[in-house]
Amino acid sequence: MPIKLSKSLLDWLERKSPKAKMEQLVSTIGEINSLIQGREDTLSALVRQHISMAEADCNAALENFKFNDKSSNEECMRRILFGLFRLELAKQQLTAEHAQICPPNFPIETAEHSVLELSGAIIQTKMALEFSNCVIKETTSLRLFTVVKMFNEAVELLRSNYQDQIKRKVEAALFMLYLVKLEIELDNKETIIDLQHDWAINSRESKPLIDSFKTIYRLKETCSISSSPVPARVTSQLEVALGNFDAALEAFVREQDDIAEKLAVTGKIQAELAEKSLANCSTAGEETAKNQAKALDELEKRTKQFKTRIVLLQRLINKRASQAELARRRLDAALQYYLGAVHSYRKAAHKTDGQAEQTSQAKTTTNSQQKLEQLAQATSLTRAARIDLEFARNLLFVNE
Amino acid sequence: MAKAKQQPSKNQVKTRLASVELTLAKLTEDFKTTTYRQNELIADCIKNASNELKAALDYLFTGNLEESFDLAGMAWLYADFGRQILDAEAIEHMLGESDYIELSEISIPWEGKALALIDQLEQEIQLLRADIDELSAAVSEQ
Repeated sequence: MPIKLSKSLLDWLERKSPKAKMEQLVSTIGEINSLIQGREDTLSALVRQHISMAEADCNAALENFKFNDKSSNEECMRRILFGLFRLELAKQQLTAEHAQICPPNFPIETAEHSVLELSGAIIQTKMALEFSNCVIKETTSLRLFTVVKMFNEAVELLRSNYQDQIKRKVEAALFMLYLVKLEIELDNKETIIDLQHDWAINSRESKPLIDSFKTIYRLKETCSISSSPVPARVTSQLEVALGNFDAALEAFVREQDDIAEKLAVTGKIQAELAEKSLANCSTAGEETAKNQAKALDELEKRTKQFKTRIVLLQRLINKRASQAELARRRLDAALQYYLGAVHSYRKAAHKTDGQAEQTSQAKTTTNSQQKLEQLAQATSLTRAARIDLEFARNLLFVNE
Repeated sequence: MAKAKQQPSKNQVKTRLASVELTLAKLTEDFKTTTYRQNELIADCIKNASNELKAALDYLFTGNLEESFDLAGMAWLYADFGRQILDAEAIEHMLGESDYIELSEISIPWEGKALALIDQLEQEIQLLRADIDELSAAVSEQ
């Protein structure tokens, strides 16, 4: 005897059939269409997109409906359900139209929450800087760009769900933002009132970096307010200390805490040594020494600026200009020639300063010849730097 | 190390997708109608958010709720960042300053800036050359 199913069960099965679902899809399309009729705004445009995609799902389902095999039936049902899901989304958006958009609730311990904290900190910094009208140096701008890049990288890392790695990157980025604030305050000799908290940079691993930077920062501050010119060797030591600090920060991002700590401590010691050198120089205070220091300090600044501009230019053209890679190499070469020229010039200048100690006529003649040779080499190196720079310019603009 | 997460429900995915899509649509519309500045970083945020949202829907299509939920979260982070920049710049514009802080190189039209940098580099080389010539003259006189 055949099994007789109850009417309610038969109705339920009927509602679950592809045909019934298809009818539901078509009627929902009509229903939502009527809700946005005559409207021309952002939401209706979004809902129309959903309707159009649901219609595409409906057509794909119909195509599969023609064949009566298992896989076609499954695909048919999947497309119908997906179309219905799109329409549910559209309905929800229309319902929530007048309510405040409810942002995703990321629990406080998640990486997403950390990333959100970083984006808030970036914007807070941007607004505070815009409000303060502070002057921002190119090197500081580069740091700020790096922070934004780190935000993008942190979001990308969410794809792989490496929570600890993401949190570390965010912590490093927040730390870098803190440095941006300190650097700008130092350069402008004013406090940015709206940026008075240090965000979440208080982990055990970040402590050596904070100590190191505070020492370096103190030295920078001393140099900036020093009434007498800062000797080149001090600025040079400061540069090396900053280089080590940057390397420590990179190691910190890579979670190489041991290396980060060593580099940070090295940077700190270098800054402390430079501080002592500066204190000794300040007490000596001879006019000629001051002038010499001033001139070399100027050259030091210019060299640093040259390097920064080359880096900026290389980053600017990267992936934009058609000949970017070739131009980048020419710029590298220009930088090397420029540094070589500075080195030769320094050597010659150093010999000139020490001339008073020379006594015999023969020694003076030999020394002058050596100096002229150094200077001739410096001249030819500047020429080479200029040729490479011109080459880069042509690669970037003449062949475009 | 990747950490295991709790599987979201279909309703949670739907709610998140709906709000992210709406946020992104409003951001796109507001960005298009902004007349005082077209920050490319915001355009980039919109593009990234759209890509993640599309991927989230694709994952949903194949029944991967967790991936879809996470990608919608990523899309929201991009869209929210773009929105915050847009709002911050609107305030700066309303204050009448219009002195915007750049957050990325992509916001700067590269050609003009690159040419300016090359000119500055050339001047630096000329300055060094002048120093060298000056010192050469001094040494030759001795």
